[in-house]
Parts: sequence; C-alpha cells; structure tokens
Amino acid sequence: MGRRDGIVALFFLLLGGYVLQAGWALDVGTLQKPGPGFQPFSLGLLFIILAVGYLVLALRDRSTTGSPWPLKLWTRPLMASAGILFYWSCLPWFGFPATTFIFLLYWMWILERESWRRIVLVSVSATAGLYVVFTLVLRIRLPMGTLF
Amino acid sequence: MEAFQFLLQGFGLALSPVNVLFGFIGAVLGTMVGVLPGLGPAATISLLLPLTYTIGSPLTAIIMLAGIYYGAMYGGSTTSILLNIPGEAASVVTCIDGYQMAKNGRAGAALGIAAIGSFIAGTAGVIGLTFLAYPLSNFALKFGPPEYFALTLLGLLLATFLSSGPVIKGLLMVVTGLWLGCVGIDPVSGKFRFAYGILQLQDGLDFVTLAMGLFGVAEIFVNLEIKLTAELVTTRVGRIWPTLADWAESRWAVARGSVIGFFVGLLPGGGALVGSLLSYAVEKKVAREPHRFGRGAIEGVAGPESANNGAASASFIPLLTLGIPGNPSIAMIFAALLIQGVQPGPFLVVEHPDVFWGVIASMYIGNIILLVLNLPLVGLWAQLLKVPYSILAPIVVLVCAIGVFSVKNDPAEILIMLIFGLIGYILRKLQFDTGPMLLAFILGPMIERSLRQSLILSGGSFSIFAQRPISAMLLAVVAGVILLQTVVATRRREKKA
Repeated sequence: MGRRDGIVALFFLLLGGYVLQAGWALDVGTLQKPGPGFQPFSLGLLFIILAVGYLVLALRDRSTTGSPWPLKLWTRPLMASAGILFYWSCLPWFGFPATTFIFLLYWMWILERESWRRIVLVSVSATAGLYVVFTLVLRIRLPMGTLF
Repeated sequence: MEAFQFLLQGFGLALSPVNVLFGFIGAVLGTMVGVLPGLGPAATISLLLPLTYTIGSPLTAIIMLAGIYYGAMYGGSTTSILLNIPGEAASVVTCIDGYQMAKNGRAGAALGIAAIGSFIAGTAGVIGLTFLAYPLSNFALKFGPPEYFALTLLGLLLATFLSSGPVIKGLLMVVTGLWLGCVGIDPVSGKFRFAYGILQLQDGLDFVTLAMGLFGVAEIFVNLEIKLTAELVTTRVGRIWPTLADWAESRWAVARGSVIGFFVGLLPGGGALVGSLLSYAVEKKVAREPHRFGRGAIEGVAGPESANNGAASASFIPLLTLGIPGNPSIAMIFAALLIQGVQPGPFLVVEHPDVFWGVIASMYIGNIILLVLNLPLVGLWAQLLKVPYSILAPIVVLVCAIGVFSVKNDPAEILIMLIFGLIGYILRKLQFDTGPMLLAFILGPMIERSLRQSLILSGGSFSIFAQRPISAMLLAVVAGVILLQTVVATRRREKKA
C-alpha cells in the first residue's frame, strides 16, 4: 500500500458520499418499512467506512509506488478501446459485415503489425465465419447497415 | 436410495442425443478454453450466455455451460505443463512441477496423471453432489428471508476473504457490486435508482454485459500490454498413460486432492484455485522427500489437478441447492438459469427436477467425455497453442461485442461493455479482484429483498436474525470468520514489523 492507494481511497470516499446522498434523496424510509433509498444509503455508509480504513492503511505505509502502468503499456489497450468505440458507433450504419471487416483490419494492422497476407486472410475468413455462426447457426439478427 | 432413483431418471434425460451433443460441445469448448491462455471459463461462459436464448431448453443450456466450466479445469493443465503458462487460473500451481516434468522428458506422464486425477476427483465430486444435494435442498426449504440474508452475507464475506489481495479491497469490491445491483427500478416502489434518465440504465445493468466487460474485455486489455510469447517445450508428448510407478507415487495425492477440492469447492469463494493451492501445500507437507517439489514431483501435478476438478464439481452444490453461486463461473451459470426462467435454490429440485437431476447426471457423462478427449487427443490440443494471440484476441472481442448486442438488440450495450472493460482493466492494475464485485452484483438484489422483507416481518427489529436458530447460527459463523480474519491479519502485521 502507499500513495497510490491513498488516491484510490479518496475516490471511494467521494463515491461513498455521493451514494449516501443519492440514497437519502430517494427516501430511506423507516426500519419498519425500508424505502428505495435504504440499500443505497447503507452502501454509501459502508463505502465511507471502508474508504476511511483504506486511507488510514495507505497513510501508514510510507512506501512510494511507481505508476501501475507506464504510458507505453497504456497504448495498446487504448488503441483497442478506440477500435471497440468505432465498432459501437458504426455497427448500426455500416452493418455487421463491413464494420467487422474494418475492425479486424484495424486491429491486425495497427495493433498487431501483422503481414498483409495474414491481415486480409484473417479479416475475410473471420468475418465470414462469424457471420455464419451468428446469423445462420445461432439465428441472431444482426444489423446489415445502409450499404447492404 | 431415493437419490439413486432420481439420478437414474436424470440419466434418462442427460443421455438424449441433443443433451449428449451439447455436453460434448461444452466439454470441447471448455478444454479449448482451458488450453488457450488468456481466456478463462468465466469469460467463455459469459460469451455464450446470450446464445442460451436460442437453445431453448434450460437443461441443455446448463449441460453445455457446465461442460465448459469443468472442461476448462481439464484443459488448463496442458498449457501449464507444456508452456509454463497456466491455461486458466486454477492450473497455476500445475506449472511448478508439471513444466519441470515436461523438461525432464516426462510431459506425457504429467498430462496423463493430470487427466486421470481430474477424472477421479471430478467423478467423486459428482457422487458427493448426488448424495448431498437432495438433503441439503430439503434443509434449505426451512429458509426464510432472515436465513437468506445471513447466508448471502456469509457467502459474500467468504468470497472476499478467500480472494486475492487485502481484505479491505475485496470488501470495497463487494460494496461496489451491491451498488451496481441497485441501478434500475426499485422492485417495491418502482422508483428509478441511478438511472439519470438513460433508457439502458432504467432497465438495470445487464449481467452479461458486466461480465463480458469485467472478465472478457479487461482480460484482453491486460494481455495486450505484453506480446504473449512462450517457448513450447514439445508438441510430441509420447506415452501418456502413467506407469505403475507413476501411479504408486501419485495415487494418495489424487485421493487427498479429491477430498480437499470437494470441501473447498463447497465454500463460496473457495473454488478450484484455492483447492489446488491448498492441495499443493498439503502434498509438499506430507511428502517423504519435499525437496523433490519444484523439480518435477508427480504428486505436485496429481494433487492440485485433482483438487481443482473436485472443487469444480462441488461448487455446483451451493448453486443448485441454496441458489448461492460461489465463484464467477458458477455465477454465470446462475445467470443462465435465470435467463431460462429457472430459479436456482431449494425449490429447484421440486419445480424443475429434470434440470436438477439432468445436470447432475450429465456431469458423470461429461467427466467420461473429458477423459477420452484429454488422453488420446492431448497432442491435438498442444497444436492449438500455435494459434497466435494476435488472431485470437480480436475475434474474442467481436464475439463479446455481438454477444452483448444480441441481449437487447441494442448497440449501446457494446459501449457499456467497453466502459466496464476499462473499469475492470484499471481495477486489475490497481490489484483489485473483480470476482467479488460480480458475485455481489448477482446477489445484491437477493440481499436487499431478504433484508427488507425481514425488517417488515419483524416490525423494524434486527433481533429477528438472532431469534431464528438457522440465521443466528449463520451470523455467528459470519462473526467467527471476521474475528479469524482480524486475528490472522494482525499476526501478519506483527510478523512484518
């Protein structure tokens, strides 16, 4: 535990405060008839108690810990997130086949730096394979977009 | 005797061609998932949850998912032994001696004893499940809201204390999961909670989306940080049937591992990983030559591999009889049952005896299928390790994305999955275990409902929990567990100082 844990503890303390306030606003009710805010209010209290305990333990530990992930380690997960964001936003418009193909191209070219032959082969075969599995075998209705 | 008769009826259902086929599919998928590093049984079951809608029959769906779960325990040993990378978490201990055995030219013996030990322990666990499940269900019929509150509280606490990392972090994850379970409509008053006028949140967070984000996508993000490479010891494993000498050395380890795994698997939070760790520690302790451990001791493979399969079978007991999932994989199966309109718990054996006894019978068949798959086909599974992760990862992401999309036919679920994927990734980097969060999310509504009902019944008095013998006993166990954990933690701090 160390300084990083102190920051995390503060985050949970703030979250606890918010949940506590939200529970109160929802109507905690009474012990005889608990309201919709009863559980959130109780959880907000628990958050605060645990966060304070975590903060105390973090302050007792004087060790300084480095960043859990230097910038270079962030890069690939962030790039993958961008790919998933693209998939979410374009799926209804471009449809499943086009969006999936572009996603695979992006992932294997930008993230994985694979050879062109492998990129094209995998993108085409995986898109076709997933289409067959989801729509024909499992009969899931997938958007086909405005291009098809 | 009664259990035996019901079991025979279960076999009648489990041996139908469709159920055998789906059991086989589950076993194959589970073995593949266990073999391939980076994709665990929990993530795989979550991927297939939306597909259970299309299967139709709850029994068939659960047979397949259960096959994936215990199949992964079989498959996980292959990468541990050949690659020194655990295929899934519960096989991490097998790496220690299994890989050394492979380097010493004894990969076949290691793989063989792992498969046989898994079969013996898995079958023994199912026998235990057969005879314990029915009386435990009858006992659980006496449970009312106070008992369910106390039991779920105990389950969450045990899952927290047995998870990795400091207890306070586990408790924060539990409270977070309980809070996420509040999102949506309050079942009593109909008021929206934490929905902010967003349609997707007004419906409540979907378990499948949460699970795929926290386990599937987060796992991919963690693995993307490094290029997954490893040196495959050999793809030619040679003779896989253990010699008489191998069997003589490992038979008691298999027996001990089976028992340890079974009892640990009964506990919420216990599960296959804890069972295998405990078994390894016991084998090292009782060995005549403990210095052999870490250098290719066959007991170091036989015991843990038996324990993880014993635990996998036993973990179905609290799910089927009490309706309490003990680990994330079982929580997925719990969700699958709910999707099919089947409520796990003491009434399951009465309302859906076909599901109850059919699943138990299918586990006997599944263990045989897995032994057949893993012994002669182990060379084939080893070839699977040549599939580059660069191809596997985007396909897994796509399967997750389409899976969550198909739950409500709403692309917004993909965005929610990504958000929880990032949250899961950040939590892992900060060394938080997300397993207790998922369990708490599943059990949160049950805890809230049983607490509110108990307070209404008692007119607002908490003494109802002490007045009823079963809930009093369970809360006494809760207090005992907290006290024990406090003593252990204090002694650990004193030792450090």
